[in-house]
Amino acid sequence: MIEARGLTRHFRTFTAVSQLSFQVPSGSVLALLGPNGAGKTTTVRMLAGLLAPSEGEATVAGYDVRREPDAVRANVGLVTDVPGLFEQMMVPAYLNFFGSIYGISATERSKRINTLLEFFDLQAHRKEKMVGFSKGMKQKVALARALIHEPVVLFLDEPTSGLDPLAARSVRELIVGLKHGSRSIILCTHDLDEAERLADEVAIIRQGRIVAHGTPTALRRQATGETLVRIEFAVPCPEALEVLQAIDGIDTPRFVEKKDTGTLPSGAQAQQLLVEYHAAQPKMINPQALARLITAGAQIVSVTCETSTLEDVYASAMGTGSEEQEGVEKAGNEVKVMTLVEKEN
Amino acid sequence: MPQNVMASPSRSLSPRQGATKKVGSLRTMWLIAWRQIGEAMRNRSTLVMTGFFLMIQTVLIWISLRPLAQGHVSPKEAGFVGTLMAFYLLYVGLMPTTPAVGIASGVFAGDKERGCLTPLLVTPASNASIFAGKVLGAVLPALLCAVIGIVVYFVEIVLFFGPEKLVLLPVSIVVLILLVIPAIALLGAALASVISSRVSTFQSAQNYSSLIVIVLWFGLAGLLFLVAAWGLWTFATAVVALYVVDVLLIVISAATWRREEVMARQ
Repeated sequence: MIEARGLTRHFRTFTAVSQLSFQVPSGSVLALLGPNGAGKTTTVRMLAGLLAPSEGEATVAGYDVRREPDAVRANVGLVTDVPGLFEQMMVPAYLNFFGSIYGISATERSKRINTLLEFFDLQAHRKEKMVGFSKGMKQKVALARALIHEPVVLFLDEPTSGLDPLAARSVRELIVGLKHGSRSIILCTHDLDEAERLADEVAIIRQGRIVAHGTPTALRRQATGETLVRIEFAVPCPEALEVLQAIDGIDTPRFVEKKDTGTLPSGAQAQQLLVEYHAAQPKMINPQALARLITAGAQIVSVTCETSTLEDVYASAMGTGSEEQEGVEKAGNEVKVMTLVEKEN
Repeated sequence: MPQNVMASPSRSLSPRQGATKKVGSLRTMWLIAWRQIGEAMRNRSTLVMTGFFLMIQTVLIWISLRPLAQGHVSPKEAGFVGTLMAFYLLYVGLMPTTPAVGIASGVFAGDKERGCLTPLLVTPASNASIFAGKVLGAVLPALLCAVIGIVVYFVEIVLFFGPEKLVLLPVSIVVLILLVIPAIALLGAALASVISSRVSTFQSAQNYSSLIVIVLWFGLAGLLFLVAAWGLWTFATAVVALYVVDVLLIVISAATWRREEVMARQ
């Protein structure tokens, strides 16, 4: 269980994190989503007992991060984007070293190391120095290190950053495997897809403040609250607007121009080939709308429903600031835009 | 979509509150130091360097001391031969302390550069035990190499010129030299750790630290030849001053390498 109340951290005159409050119950994953420099890593460092908060309070695994940082560190595991291994060592020796620092007995260490090597599929590499490992393998070792002392809280700070798509997928699958009824996980990422796939709750951070927080579904609903429905006709259907306007629960129906009309009429008639509307309860409204359109003679080719994505929520959360804020975050947003373009490609 | 279904990892990967046991600071310090010592001693370059220094020292002693120390040494020559033997003792003791600078730069600036510091800082180990472990892990391999060099040196004197020539070495100077070697090794490590906190790469830390340590070597070697004229107290003062500087550097460095400081700088 992680609980933060008004967590704030200043570095001289710069405020990296401001008034962060959230809870991560045991058994759940919270994704901290935000551009570079948003304050995700500083938040994790405060919660992991590495940095003292300037203001506010937090308890991690039942311990106060300010008063009992040693106890906090004994109960948390941390993985960052850099595996940070002693690469001249072999995996068992490396895990044994950290196990000793955590005060685990030799017998228990040996058992834990074998279990972790098996879980992370590293058995075949136990006699190799880590210097020759791929980044994905190194990240697996970092995860194993973070789990050697069976922590109840796990912080994953951009664990798939810099990994190739296959390695990133493999690490994500392992993270899913780490979800456990009595473990709380905080995942920092700027990968929206990763957050949506792994997290039970998402907190979008901007300039050290949480600007949106909730389950991915709730956030999507919060962004528009409605589903966009598009109906395509085989031939122009001028009556469609009148039919749809008469149905309660349909918001702003309108014709939109269909780009590729092929051999079908162009100009004004082409605009009557595609109609769209918003509906808060598409499951109830759509069957009714389709039945009435068919009765009115519409020849329906397709119906598509679009609910907003986490990407929309994120873009909306990132785009609401003042010009000054945008200037500060320019670098971070550029990274974000690149990620989105890459995803689209 | 979030995967709400709880995965079922093997039972042993389950978290367990209080699975760890508090480890004493001395034990943690030793664990950290021992890991570094192991790594340094397994490093082929350390072994090659030690072998190379031993070889150079053998050749130097043979070439430069043989004409003076072989056969009968007159009381007039004894003072100079003794000083020269002491100079070589200083040389064989100080040369192997070079790795202390390299290892310390590696475990402070290098670990910071490679991101190896954070996993260590996130353990319950105290700031003092992490810092002391790292310094000790840099100093001990260097001292071990120095001990090997000194033992080999005495063996060579006995074998090449006879055991009676050992008495030419002034005992007080020998004691001061044996005291100055750990002081220089410690200074190299502490200096490298202080510089490591202010530079971003291992290479810069090593270069700056080595430069300062080499200047000190020359100072000490020069002072050794002036002992006859200025008196033993000059060298003794230098040794005491070095230990004072060591303490100051360690205090400064320990404060610099506190978790809070390291994390705030990153």
